[in-house]
Amino acid sequence: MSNQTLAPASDKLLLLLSLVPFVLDRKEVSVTEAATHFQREEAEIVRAVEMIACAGVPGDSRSYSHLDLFDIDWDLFENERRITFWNTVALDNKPRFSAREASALLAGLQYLASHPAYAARSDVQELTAKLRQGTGAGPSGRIVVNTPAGEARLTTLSDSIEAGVAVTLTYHNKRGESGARTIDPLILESRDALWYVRAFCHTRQALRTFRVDHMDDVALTDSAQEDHTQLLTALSSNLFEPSNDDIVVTLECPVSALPLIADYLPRGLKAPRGPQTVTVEVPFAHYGSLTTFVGAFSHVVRITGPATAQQSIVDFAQKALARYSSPSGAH
Amino acid sequence: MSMSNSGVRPEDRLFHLILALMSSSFGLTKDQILGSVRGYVPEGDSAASAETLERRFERDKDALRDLGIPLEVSIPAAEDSNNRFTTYRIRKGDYDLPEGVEFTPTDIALLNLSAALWQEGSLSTEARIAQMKLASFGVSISESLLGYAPVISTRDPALTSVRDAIDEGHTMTFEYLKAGDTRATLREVSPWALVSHEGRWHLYAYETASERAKTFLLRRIVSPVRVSQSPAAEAPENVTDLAVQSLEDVFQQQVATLGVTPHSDAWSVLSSRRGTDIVGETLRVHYTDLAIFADELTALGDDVVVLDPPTLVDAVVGNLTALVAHHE
Repeated sequence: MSNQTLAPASDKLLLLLSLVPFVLDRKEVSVTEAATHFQREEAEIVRAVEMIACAGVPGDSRSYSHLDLFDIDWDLFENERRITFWNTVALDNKPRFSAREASALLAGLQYLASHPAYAARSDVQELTAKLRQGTGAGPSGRIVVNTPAGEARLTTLSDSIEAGVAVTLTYHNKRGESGARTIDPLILESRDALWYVRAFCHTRQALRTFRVDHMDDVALTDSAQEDHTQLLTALSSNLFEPSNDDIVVTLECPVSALPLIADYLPRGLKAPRGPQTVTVEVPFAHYGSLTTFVGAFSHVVRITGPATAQQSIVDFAQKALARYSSPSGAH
Repeated sequence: MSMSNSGVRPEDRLFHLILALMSSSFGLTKDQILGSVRGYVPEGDSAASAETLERRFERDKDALRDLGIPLEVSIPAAEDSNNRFTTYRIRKGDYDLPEGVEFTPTDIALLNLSAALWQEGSLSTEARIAQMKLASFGVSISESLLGYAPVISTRDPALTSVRDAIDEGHTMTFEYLKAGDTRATLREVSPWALVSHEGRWHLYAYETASERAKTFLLRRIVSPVRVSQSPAAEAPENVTDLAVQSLEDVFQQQVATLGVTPHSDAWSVLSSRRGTDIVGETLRVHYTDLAIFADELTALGDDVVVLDPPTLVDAVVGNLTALVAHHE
């Protein structure tokens, strides 16, 4: 499957195919419940039910006769907006996962097992076995996410989220400053092998994203977290939000390298067709995060402006190079 | 139903196609399908041309396959021009979840979370289909798995074609830029397994020319992947274990000695890496890929100085020199 989004018809078909076993499982369900469950508009559920209710298989006479049709309790549906089937055709069971779907789920479970909250749970292991049994994985099973089990800081952070208490820690930020912080951890996030925690920072009195491997001395406290329900509901899926204080730099990089730096680029940026090099404006919170980024992609990206940003990169690189020419260095 | 042929929505037609293919014991020929299934059969006064119907059927077959629906095609042994006697069916046993497989509410929540991992990139479609299938379970999800929001990147452009090649069991070719080389070379391999190791995707494959199993970093595949029609060399039984082990072996063998400023973020990051030994103010740190590790160290700036191995010193100094040259 090369396309990355489902065609609208395929998406609607999936709803039809899943709605039937769902209603059979629940025996009777309201339109509202179904809409919540499938995260769809109620009108879409109503349309799907109407379509299913008139569907069936062509009989021997090659026409659709009423024995071979789905049937619902129309009175209940029309008067109370509740769905129940009187007759179903062919589809009366939940669909199995294809080998490729199963391989994505299996690799995902393996990754979850590296999380401290799940590593010790036997149900992840049992579920893996069940899923293997439920599908013929075949060569699609040859996809592995190998993340070694989490370490102590993750366990402490995970415990604090579970217990709803604050933690204290020493944090090293990208400006090169270290300091003691008290935070209310809300969500542990991971991007591949890197871990972040989104937390309410008592010092800053605001929601902040912290990198777990920049933390030292993480310790649980006895103090309960404040109520952050509102923060949680407003939480964006972007780890880092642009702010007005950001330094906006002009970045140049080969089109082929865009996937490598996608996390730093504006959302939805599409690679242009034609040119080999792309120029894009990217915000950074401060020079520290800019130099960290450019340092990691020294052969891929080039900052073409402003001059102050370029100078900060030169200073950063020259200071690091100096360590190799001094007597304490390698040479 | 007096809906005209063109008035039947595509999802309605696909739904009817599935019902017909599942209800048939011996399969249906294309003519039977085009002549009986709603959405193909001309209704009212709108009659689509035969070519239109055939094209529609071809597209619908692809749509079903893309959704992972097991469409079985039987081609009779005898000469069959225009596939007139080819039959199509969906075995109920292949479509349904096997008897006896039950998922608890916690299972469903865990599976939803593991599907959500792939929300970005090339596995997102399959993950979405899997989530819709999970929604067909009537259980209410009792356990909330809030508090954890993981994402696995699948942005490597080569990932999809490599997965396809593994599934199809075919060899493939690509241009590979080996670390330290300035020119890419053409490789022909039998793809065996995909491994995400330290957050990066690797291909474990048997290389035809060298007659050896090798590990390739996906981001160093610099050309489109071309999948051939030749069968791939057969993978050993425990291929995923071998793939993980070969990366692990490299990681264990390669150790760098680094001078690191205490109490800096560099110290925090490097000392917490798996397998790091602390010797006074120097750290002995394991790594898998020299060039990538050099990039990571470059980003840490003057809080780190590489003491050993010399190849890593050269790589970091090379990065820093390039940074100065590009921005002065």
